[in-house]
Amino acid sequence: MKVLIVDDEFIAQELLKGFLESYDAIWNVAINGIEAVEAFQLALAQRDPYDLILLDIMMPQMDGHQALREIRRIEAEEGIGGTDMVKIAMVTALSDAKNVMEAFVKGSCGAYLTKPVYPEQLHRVLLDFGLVDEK
Amino acid sequence: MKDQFSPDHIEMVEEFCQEIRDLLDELEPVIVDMGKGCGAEGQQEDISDDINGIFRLFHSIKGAAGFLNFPNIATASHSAENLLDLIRTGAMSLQPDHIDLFCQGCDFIREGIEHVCEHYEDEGLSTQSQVIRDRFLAAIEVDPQEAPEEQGPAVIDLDLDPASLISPEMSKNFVSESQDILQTMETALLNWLKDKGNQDLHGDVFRQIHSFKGNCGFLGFADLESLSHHLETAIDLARSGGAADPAKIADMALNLIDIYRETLADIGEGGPGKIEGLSIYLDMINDQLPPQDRVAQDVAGQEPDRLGDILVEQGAATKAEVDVGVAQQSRQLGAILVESGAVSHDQVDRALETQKERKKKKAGAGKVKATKRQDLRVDLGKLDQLIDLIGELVIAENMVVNSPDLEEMELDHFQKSSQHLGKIVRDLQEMAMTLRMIPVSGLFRRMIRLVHDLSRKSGKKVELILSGEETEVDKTVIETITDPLVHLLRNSMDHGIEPQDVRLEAGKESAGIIRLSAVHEEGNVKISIEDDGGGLPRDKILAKAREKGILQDAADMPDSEIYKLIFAPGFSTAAEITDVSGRGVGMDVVRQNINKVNGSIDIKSRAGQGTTVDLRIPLTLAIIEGMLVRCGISRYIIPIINIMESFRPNPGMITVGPDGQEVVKVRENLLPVVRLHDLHNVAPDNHELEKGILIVLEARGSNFCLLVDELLGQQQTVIKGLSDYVSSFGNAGGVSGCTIMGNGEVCLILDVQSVLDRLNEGGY
Ligand SMILES: [Mg+2]
Repeated sequence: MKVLIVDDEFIAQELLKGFLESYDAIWNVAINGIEAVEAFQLALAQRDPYDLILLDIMMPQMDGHQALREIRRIEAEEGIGGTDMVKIAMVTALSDAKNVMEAFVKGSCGAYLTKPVYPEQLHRVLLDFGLVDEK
Repeated sequence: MKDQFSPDHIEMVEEFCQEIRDLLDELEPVIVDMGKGCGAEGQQEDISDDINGIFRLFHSIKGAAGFLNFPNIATASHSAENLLDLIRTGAMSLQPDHIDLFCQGCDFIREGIEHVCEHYEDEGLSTQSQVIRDRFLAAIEVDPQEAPEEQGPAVIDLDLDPASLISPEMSKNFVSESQDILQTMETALLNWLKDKGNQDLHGDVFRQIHSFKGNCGFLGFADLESLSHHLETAIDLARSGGAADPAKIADMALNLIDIYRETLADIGEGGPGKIEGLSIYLDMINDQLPPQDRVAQDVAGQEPDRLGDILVEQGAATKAEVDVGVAQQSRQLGAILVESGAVSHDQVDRALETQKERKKKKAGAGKVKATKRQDLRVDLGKLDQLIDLIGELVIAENMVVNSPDLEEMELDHFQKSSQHLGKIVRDLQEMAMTLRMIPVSGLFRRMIRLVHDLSRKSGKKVELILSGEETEVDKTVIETITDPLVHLLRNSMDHGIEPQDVRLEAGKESAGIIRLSAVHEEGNVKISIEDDGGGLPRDKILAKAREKGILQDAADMPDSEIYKLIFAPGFSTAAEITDVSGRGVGMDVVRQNINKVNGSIDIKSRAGQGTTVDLRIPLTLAIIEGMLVRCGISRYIIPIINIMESFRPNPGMITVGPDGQEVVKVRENLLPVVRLHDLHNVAPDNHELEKGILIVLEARGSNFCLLVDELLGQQQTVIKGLSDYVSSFGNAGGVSGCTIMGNGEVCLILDVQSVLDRLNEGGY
């Protein structure tokens, strides 16, 4: 499982890495939306796309919403659709209706987790996304 | 219902509904469009973009619904995703049936949105969700290449809406059976009317409406069911010793039978069985009931076994017997249908399930479409306070900006800032005014009832057609025009619309038509009452006016002015024509009220073809754009809308008529002159016309000149509610209100119309 962690905060990155350590996963870290989109594109070009992106919203330069839309736009351009779309879980401190619905409706994210995030929640997301089997 | 959810959840659900609705609006056309190209031979067109877009639609819904814990919506969306993914990867080819299925999926989502908007959870959607999932599953499992023919009916069988479960055969049976029931009920009602205390006769009526309601409910005709439930309740309460008046209820029931018949006719022709203006009828029924017994709207089917309750109450049957009976009853129609082979057992079960869910849904409080427009209930008192405060702010801003202390000072920066402030204040004021705006629909709807009642009393059949109900006007306007509207409609009913035989003779439809419409028109709202009756009797009006001394000379009077005489105080044509509603005064009330809100009335009438009355009322009553003028030491505001031009006259323009009336020639027109200082007994700067300023004023098409000493400038004016002070001048004073000037001085607002009226009546 190849994961892209996108968060501007060191602690958040470390927590997510720590969580992924208990899975058979490799990961990269991006610290803002621009890096995230670049990493996503690079992986596509190398024909080794990410299985999962964990995406923060509040980040400098390009926020998570913009990054999400950009990723979906690139996918549409490349003709990537349906279940081939990259699975994205928002991991953010923002929990208001506007942000949540924007991520789901405009960005077609697959899950939305509000910080602080617990391992059980993340595990649930991996299950829902079909990235791990029930243990 | 709402209380058990956190405000966050409620907000989230509302956002969800809004967003998904928009998304559906955007993508449904894509689905339909995609359908046009598919199914045909050689499906070459690349639809992968569309498929991906639609996939994202359902994917977004699934995600958001999952987040909000709406499992029924989420799983249904997921099943749509599955089919889409198979089509996307080429494992299946897109079939016309699939398009239908996606559309049905969208319909389900829409219905789901309405549901969650009201309930904030999606528990009630399990049956429908299951149906949708089954269908997507069936579409995935059946290989369309193998058995395309079998696929069609299978899909239809699983239809989601019980209404479409109904074959034409079934609806035909339902209509004819219902017609029999109504016939029986009509007879029963008439018998009961003759002997209102008779329990048996009452029981006959009750049974008919009860079984009619049951049938409607089973077949999913929600409007019919709801109306019948209300009527059933009313009839129940009208039993001897009950809380409602049997005569009135029976009367009403007889009328409603006509509505039922119309609706059944619609169903017979394949219509959806909707009842137009249902809520009016429901209100009408509720009006006849004591408050505690009124049926809450949309709560139809709340007590499906009412008859059973009564039987138990009366000791006619035990609870157990009744339960069995009720169970049989609700099964009955289903059983018949199964026997006749029209539907399968499964379908009946499913339909009954849906019926149950619908009832559950209806039991929830509030209207289904409540969140379509986001409303917040605010105490009207607070709102008025806010508007008053903003009014004060406007005045205070004026006081500051036009402070005498600042006169003749060079204040560039201040000027700039104060202009900015002024703009914000005006925007704020405009916004505040819109807060008080409400649609006229409520008012209009009340008129349906009025026309209905009058129609029954007079025996004239009349159809009331409403339009522009969504038009918004100030709340005060609504209050002020309610009475005038009632009088005008009565007038149309009594004097406009002819009796049926007269109409038929004239080659018209036997039922008269009255159109009530509202439309915005340059800062005014125009409310029109248009009938297709006999028109106003010009000569009769003239004769009457002369007789009453309202009018001396009508030689050059245009028809429109003659018609307006019916609004004159003391004028009533009621004596000549049957006055069914016992109306004595009336029409002058119309003029008074409309004047009060600076409105105007126009009448057009054509003999034999009908009459149109147009009411024009300013949208907001609290601000006017005005010209400040001075006469001696007094200042007045004249509404800009009335001002045509102003000039200093030269002696050659002025002539004095034989009656002493001064007249000024403005280009080709001779205009009478009114001296403002005469109006209010103010000492002017001078009495010669040539030394003052003449303002040409216009009201409803007539012009005159007003003499003032000086024009002081244009400004926005907030009308203050110093009604006692103003009314001491009365209408004769030609004043409609007053305002407070920047320096705190009170200033009167001139009512041009009433000045003109006085002039025409020879008052000046
Ligand atoms: Mg952050």
